[in-house]
Amino acid sequence: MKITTPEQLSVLLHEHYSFLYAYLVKLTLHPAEAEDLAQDTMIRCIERYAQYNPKKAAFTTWMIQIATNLWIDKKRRKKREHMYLNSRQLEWKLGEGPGLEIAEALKTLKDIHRIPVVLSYYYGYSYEEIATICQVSTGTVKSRMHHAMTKLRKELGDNETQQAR
Amino acid sequence: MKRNRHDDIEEKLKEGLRDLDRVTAATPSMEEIHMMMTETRKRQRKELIWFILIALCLITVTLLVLINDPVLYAVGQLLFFIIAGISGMIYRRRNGVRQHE
Repeated sequence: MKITTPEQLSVLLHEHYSFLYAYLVKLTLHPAEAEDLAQDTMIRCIERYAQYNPKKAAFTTWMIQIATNLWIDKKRRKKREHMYLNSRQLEWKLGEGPGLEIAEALKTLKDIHRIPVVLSYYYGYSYEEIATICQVSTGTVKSRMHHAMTKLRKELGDNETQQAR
Repeated sequence: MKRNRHDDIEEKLKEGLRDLDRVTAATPSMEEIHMMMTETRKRQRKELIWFILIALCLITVTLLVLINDPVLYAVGQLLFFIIAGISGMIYRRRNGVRQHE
């Protein structure tokens, strides 16, 4: 659906906010940071909705692409400022559960490796779609996925071995 | 055996990612979104007006210099290209060094 009026856009933003926030939690592994980025993403969507082409991608894909770019830009800018003010926030919100273990394993990955894993294993995006979102080639996505899964298998495998002992 | 282990880890990854959905945030109301849209559009309009004003000023100054003192205009252009060229070369050299770090 082509967004022709601001009302249509506000309905879409309202409908997809939870989806956006859930993605950003997996991307940042930091709930407060995810909330800030969700706001920034919404503002960027408002600024650029005239550029959105529904023939190219679904609204959610476009939104995820914007959110991913904003996160990468923000991290690049804040690299020296140590943005992780409270790294235990996720732990407080989640408590015990498989989510925390996976979050710890995901934290060991660089963004360029974590993003394709989340997009593929949670959202079920194809390599081609991930390549569009990350603005890289399909080959690069495959290579990043391979690298990420090797590392994750090692991390999660090690955890299992430790638990078994 | 190895394949099963890989499948287990992929399943564990999917389950963990699903579990992260327990972290939720309140969705902004339609009124809040409307307000955000109004403010963003107001800011965009202000930025556009500033952009047009600054562009008009620059064009006016350039045209005045060109009409009143063409030699000064030519010297200005020459200086601009020299400075831009040197800056470009320095930037490229620095980036080249960074890539090899």
